[in-house]
Amino acid sequence: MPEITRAQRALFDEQGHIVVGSLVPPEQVARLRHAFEEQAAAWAAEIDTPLDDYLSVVSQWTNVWEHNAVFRAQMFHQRAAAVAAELIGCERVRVFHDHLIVKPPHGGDTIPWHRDLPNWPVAEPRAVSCWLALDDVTAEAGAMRFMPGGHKEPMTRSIDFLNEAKTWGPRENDAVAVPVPAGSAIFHHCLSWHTSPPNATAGWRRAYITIYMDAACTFDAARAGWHPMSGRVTVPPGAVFNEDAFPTLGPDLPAAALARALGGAA
Amino acid sequence: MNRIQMYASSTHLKHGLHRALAVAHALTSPVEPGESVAWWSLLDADEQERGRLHALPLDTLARIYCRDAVRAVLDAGRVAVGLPALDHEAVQTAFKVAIISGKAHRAHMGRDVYGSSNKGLWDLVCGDFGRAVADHYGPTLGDDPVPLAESIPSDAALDALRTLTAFDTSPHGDGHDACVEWLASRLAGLGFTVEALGHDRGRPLVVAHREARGLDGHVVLYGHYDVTPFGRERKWTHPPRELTVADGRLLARGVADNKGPLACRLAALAALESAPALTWLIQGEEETGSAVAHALLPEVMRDLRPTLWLDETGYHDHEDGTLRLLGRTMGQEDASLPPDPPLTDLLRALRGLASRWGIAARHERRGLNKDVVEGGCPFNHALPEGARYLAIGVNDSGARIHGLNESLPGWTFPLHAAELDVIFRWVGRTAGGAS
Repeated sequence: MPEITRAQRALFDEQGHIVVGSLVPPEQVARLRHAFEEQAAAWAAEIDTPLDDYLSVVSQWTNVWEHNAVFRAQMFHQRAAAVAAELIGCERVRVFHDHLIVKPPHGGDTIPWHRDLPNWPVAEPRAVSCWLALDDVTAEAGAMRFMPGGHKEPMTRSIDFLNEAKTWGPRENDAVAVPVPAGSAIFHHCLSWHTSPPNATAGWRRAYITIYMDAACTFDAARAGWHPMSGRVTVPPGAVFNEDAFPTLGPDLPAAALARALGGAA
Repeated sequence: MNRIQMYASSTHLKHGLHRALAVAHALTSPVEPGESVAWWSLLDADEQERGRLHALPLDTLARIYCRDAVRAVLDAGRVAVGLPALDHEAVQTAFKVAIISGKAHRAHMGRDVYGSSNKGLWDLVCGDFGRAVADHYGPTLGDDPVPLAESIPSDAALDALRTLTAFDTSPHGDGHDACVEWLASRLAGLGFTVEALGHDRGRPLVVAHREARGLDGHVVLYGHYDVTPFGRERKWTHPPRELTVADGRLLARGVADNKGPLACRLAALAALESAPALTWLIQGEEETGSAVAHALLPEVMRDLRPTLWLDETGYHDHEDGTLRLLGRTMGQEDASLPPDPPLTDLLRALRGLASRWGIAARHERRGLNKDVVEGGCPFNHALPEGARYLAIGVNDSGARIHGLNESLPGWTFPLHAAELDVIFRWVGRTAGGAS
């Protein structure tokens, strides 16, 4: 049975993103928030830094699933993977990586307009991100903004956030903010143009993102100048990614991936 | 110091912090003959070697940037290029943030927003200082460090040197005319108008001139294409009549005196987009008394009043690469006077550039040793009173000039090309009347 409707599918094809409501029930959202709080305290202690100082600086974590069983279970969320597979148009998906992105109360920076794929060592544009809100994310709290249809435009090079800023001119008016309640998720294409403003509210703005790609996607060492996952790739350019660091999900989950999903050895 | 990019922000920040201190020290410490000058002398003994290589970690740099002596140098460097002193408390706060971000990344793949912490510190220390230094001296001075192992001659320089050394321009050789033709052709290809003077008197003097390309001022360069005899050729470890590259050195008769410097400068000029007006005087009898040059150079040089006179080469200590900076202002009867303020400024910039290669500098106030041989150097003899003179180049003290196995270090070629860029920009600024 399909996980998304034909209308959602058409909307995704047209604008490059859709919202899937209530992907995760409130009790799981609460578990994920609690897991983040515990994990952040552990990470701060690991580098001998007071938690407040730590969270005033560090706002993104990659491969959270390797550190935390709650996030590990979430990364293997069957419905999220199924939605991703339907949007990509493949039977099985592979996790490129997960990451946790937070904007503290009245904090966080603007993430400039960008597309994801030019920054990834992935050859094919067959990937989607599942952006799961762990808090109610309003426009004021730093909701994601998209340029509808931008994913259909030609490939571009990566943008250096420290030195460049993509501008749209009058087309900026076409950009849309996509607020989502906690537990809902935005699925967006790897070539979607997106940005997000700082969090102007008194609450946290936390999101857990899992990047799914077609399991047949291949390693392109030349595409990205640097990426945190490049060091985990053990296959040659042109080959599909190694299973240990880039696990597959699908109807016939490998035993090792199932073990990881259930909290076993990473 | 000149750039910070998202995917290399940690590396660029560390390089920038080293460069800011190195350049500030170079621009402000004295220019006096004597001991060598190195910016890493500011550091504790156990920090100096890694500092020289621009390899100190961020937490060590944070401690260094707390020291009063270091803060004074940084502030003096900023004042030298027209900037206010640093807000040192803000710098320490930015260090703290960047260190947390770096630790989180190494420990558990945590990070800030794409290098923003590194950028915050970079903006404070390197941003405006790097731009001001680049405005004064060009971007070369503040660029990334150059590992000696990666500092090798360009293919163009090697090709030119291979060709030059193949001409037998020893005293009884038969390659002088062909060498002059080749030089004239190469110089014409670079846009020079070329004359060969004194055919009737001996080996011709090449006089080449090129109008300015985007920079004010004028530089007169000197050199020579003749070499000493090959000596006992069987005693050489490599054939003296053809170029050999071995163990980082270039070997053949004449590579150091003076075909290597000629080749390096020819290749560097081809790669530089901007240059002041250039006059290049290249004689062919330096090793046999310089009769033609002694007869013609006084007349050729009489009306020249360039911003700088640049001698045929210069030297490094072969043990540790220390740059010998022979800079002087000419007094009456060849007297060497202290460099005037503009030339002092150039010497400071050049030692700052040398620190990219991890080498110190030592100031000397004289000409090259050829000054003291019988008859003297016709170029140096004809320098007018008030001339700004500089001897700098690719040679080192292990070159064995005139001896067996004459050689040059290869690593000095990229440095000298960068030196020419800094020199030309300084000439443009000095002649243009900028402060």
